[in-house]
Amino acid sequence: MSTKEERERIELLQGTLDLLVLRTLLLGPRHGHAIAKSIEFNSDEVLQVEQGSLYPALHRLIKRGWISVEDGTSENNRRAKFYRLTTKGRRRLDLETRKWNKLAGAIARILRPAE
Amino acid sequence: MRRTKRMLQELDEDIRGHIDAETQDNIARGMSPEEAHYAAMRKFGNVARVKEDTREVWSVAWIEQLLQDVRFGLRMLRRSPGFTVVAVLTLALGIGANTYIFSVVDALVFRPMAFPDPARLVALWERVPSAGLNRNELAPANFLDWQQQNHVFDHIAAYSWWNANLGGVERPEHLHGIQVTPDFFATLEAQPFIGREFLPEEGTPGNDLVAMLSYDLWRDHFAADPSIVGKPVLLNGIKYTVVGVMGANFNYPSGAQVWSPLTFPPGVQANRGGHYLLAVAHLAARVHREEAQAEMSTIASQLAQQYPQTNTGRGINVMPLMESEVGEARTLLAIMLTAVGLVLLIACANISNLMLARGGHRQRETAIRVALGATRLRLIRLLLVESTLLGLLGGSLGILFAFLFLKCPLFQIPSDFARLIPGWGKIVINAPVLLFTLVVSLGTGLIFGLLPALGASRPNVSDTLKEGAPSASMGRRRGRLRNVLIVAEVAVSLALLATAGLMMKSFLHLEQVSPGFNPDRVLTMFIALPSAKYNSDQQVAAFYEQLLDRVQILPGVQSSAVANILPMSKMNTISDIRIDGRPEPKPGEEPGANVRAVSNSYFRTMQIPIDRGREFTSQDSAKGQQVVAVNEVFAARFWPGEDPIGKRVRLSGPLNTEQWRTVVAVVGDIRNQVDVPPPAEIYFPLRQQTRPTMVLVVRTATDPRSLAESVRTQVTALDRDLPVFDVMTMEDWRSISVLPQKIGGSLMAAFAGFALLLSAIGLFGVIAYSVSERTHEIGIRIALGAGRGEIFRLVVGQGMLIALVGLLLGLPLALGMGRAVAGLLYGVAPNDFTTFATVAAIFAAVALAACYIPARRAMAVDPMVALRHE
Repeated sequence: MSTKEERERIELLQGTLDLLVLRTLLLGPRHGHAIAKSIEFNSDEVLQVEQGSLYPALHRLIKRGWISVEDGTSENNRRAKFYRLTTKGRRRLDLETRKWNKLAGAIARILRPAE
Repeated sequence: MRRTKRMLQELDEDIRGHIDAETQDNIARGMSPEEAHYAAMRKFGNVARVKEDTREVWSVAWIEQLLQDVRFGLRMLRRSPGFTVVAVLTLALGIGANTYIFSVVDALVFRPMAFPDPARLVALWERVPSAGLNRNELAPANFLDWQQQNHVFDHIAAYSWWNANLGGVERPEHLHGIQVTPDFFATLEAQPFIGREFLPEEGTPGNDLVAMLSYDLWRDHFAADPSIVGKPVLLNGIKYTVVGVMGANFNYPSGAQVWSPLTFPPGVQANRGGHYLLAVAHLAARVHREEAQAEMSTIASQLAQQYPQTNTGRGINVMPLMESEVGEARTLLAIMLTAVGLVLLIACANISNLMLARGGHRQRETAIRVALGATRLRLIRLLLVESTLLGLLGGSLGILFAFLFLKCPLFQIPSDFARLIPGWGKIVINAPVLLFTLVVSLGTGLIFGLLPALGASRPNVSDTLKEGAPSASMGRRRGRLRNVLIVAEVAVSLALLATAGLMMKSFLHLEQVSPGFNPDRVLTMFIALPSAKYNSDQQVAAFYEQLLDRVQILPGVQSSAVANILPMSKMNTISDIRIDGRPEPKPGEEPGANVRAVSNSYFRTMQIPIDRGREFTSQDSAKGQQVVAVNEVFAARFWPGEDPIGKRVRLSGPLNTEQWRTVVAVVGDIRNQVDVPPPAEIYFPLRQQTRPTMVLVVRTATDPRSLAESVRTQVTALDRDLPVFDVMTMEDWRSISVLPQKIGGSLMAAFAGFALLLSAIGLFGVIAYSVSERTHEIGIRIALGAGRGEIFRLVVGQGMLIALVGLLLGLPLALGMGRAVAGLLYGVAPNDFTTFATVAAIFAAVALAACYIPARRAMAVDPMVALRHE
């Protein structure tokens, strides 16, 4: 029984990173390094993930068809992979965001000190 | 797949770009380039692991895990070689036997003949319910009426076996020819390989001297001459023109070598009394066989009204062609397939048992896996992979065994006979058979693996991981499961053994049946005199008499004779007869008898006793008094309580012109088929009932085969263009006639023996395991004063109880199997008490032997050692 819980926990963590990536790409196509920087910056560096773990997440999202990848040139004129949110990914992001807000709201209400 | 590969190649570049970008940022923050690079690397994390994780996203995870399980499974199997060898050998024998039987079923039942659309093909037979005949040959006039009146077939063709002596070659050869109506090939939807089919006009007398060759004949005798079409070929001394060659796959009727048109001369067109044609038909579009049967039955009853003399009580049987061709073999093969499947199930039960026992030893390993987070599904899969591996290993070795079985001399039959069995030549281990083996191997692995896997995947983790004995409750549950398996094994084995016993007993009965003549040391060969050269009865009779004179004086020959029909050959001619002084029978109720034309020396040569009257002599010539001999059955049926000698009888020809003939002898009954009681038979002297095709029977002083060549030389000396064919011995014919029972009985005995061995091993394993588990308990019993004898009885009693329950449960199963094979049994009731009692006794003895060794071991338990062990 314990194993099932464990798996859900891992999926939650993975899912969170996925969600953050999708949210970042909502603003437009980015390359890997830019995504990592953006997540760090926007979370006030609260979320300190190893940058490398971004890549399995990106590939997972590509496999699911939520983002696509294309060749492009980075700001310092290097060839780089640009990741772009697909329509499917956008729908997913909406759904996940709603779910997330609901959950966060619920937890917030529970944790709110009694008045 | 390719996209994945490219994505992963580009991942390297992407990661490098990422780290460079981060390094640039760091430099911009004021770090030294070296420092900046290391900081970027640190922040990125383990590059190798990132790549690994990314690759995993794209990999099909279950395949990789499966490979892991396979590697682990192989390691486990290597680590317990004893178990692996026993399991693989058991499976190999079981799967090998299944593969072998399936290859036979595949060849004989699924694809005996290569027709494009076998489901639309039917065989047509006349049926005479009053005589118990379901598959009687057709009279030509009836066939012509069927052909004209039916609306359910788009083609209907008749054919008839035809002796074609191939001339113009070094050594004359007899060919198995078939005369066919011109649309025969169209009916079967078969096109010639080269050349053309017969034309409609070639089915009329005078235009019929054309021939279609079989592929093998063309290849072997005409050197695969590509321009054979249009060339002449000499058959029965007459020039035929080759019009085509059939494809290598076309072999209908089985054994045919050359086809020629069948004609219906005016005399034949009205013949409703002589039944000698076979027929096939192709169902018209959207017509079901049942509809065809209904219409043909209507036609039959109309014909019966129209021609009451000949057609009263004659129906038509529309059979699926495949059933008509292989129907008899099917029952036997179905039983064999069931038996061999059951043997494999027993093997599965045995291996399940071994694995359950091993599961006990592997409890700790399983418990650790669960403690480390393995899911139940994953555990089951791991164990199933292991058992499937065993199944595949067993299957691979099994294919080897199947090859050996195919080569086994027991299943070889004379080629002259094998040729006639549709599909016999096609028994091979081919792709479909291998696919079957693969499926069976995988299935077997899953079947025997499932129970142990389910059991082992639910270990009691905390109990097992604590130091000490495995938990008692687990052991008991597993023990009960193993007992149930053994009981089932014993029950199924008993049923198989009983069936084998019944079949063997039946076979032995058949072997002991006296055929009514002496089949020892008799050489047999057929001769077909071509009518072009031997066009009078006188010429034919003279030839055979001269031949007998020549053969008679050969050294080693005791006696020789000719006859139109050879006993045990399954050939026959039947005729309606009339008894002098009896009222004319009603149509459809005419008495009939087997008709035999024999030379004077036939009874002497075959050693058929003449009970009353005299032998045929040279006085019984064409011009002399017309005489016959009848057998005892005939005498008892038509003249019960009277002396048949001097009574008169005649054949009933269509025109009632046959002469009355006087009975001069009553001879002993002989069997034409070993398992069929003798019918009424009437014998004619050769000169008074002459047939061009005869079988020469030669009783010899030594091995009859050694005389075959010198006898053949005598035939050639009389006519150098005349071949002999089907050169065999009477013993060959006799053993062929019991071949299905022999092969069936031996196979069943082999399967049952294997099953018995397996269940004995299984029982031994269970008892031995239980003794080793109960060492402690036994030690206490002995310490408390139990005698060795008591311990012995305790262990043996446990084993015998299992065996007894299995035997009791197996009994109804055995009775059911007995009923299933009842149709194949001769002289044995399907519930034969002696067989069942013997089989049960054998089983009890084997069970006792299986318990003996563990019981001895239990007796030898040293209480001190056993108690200290805990």
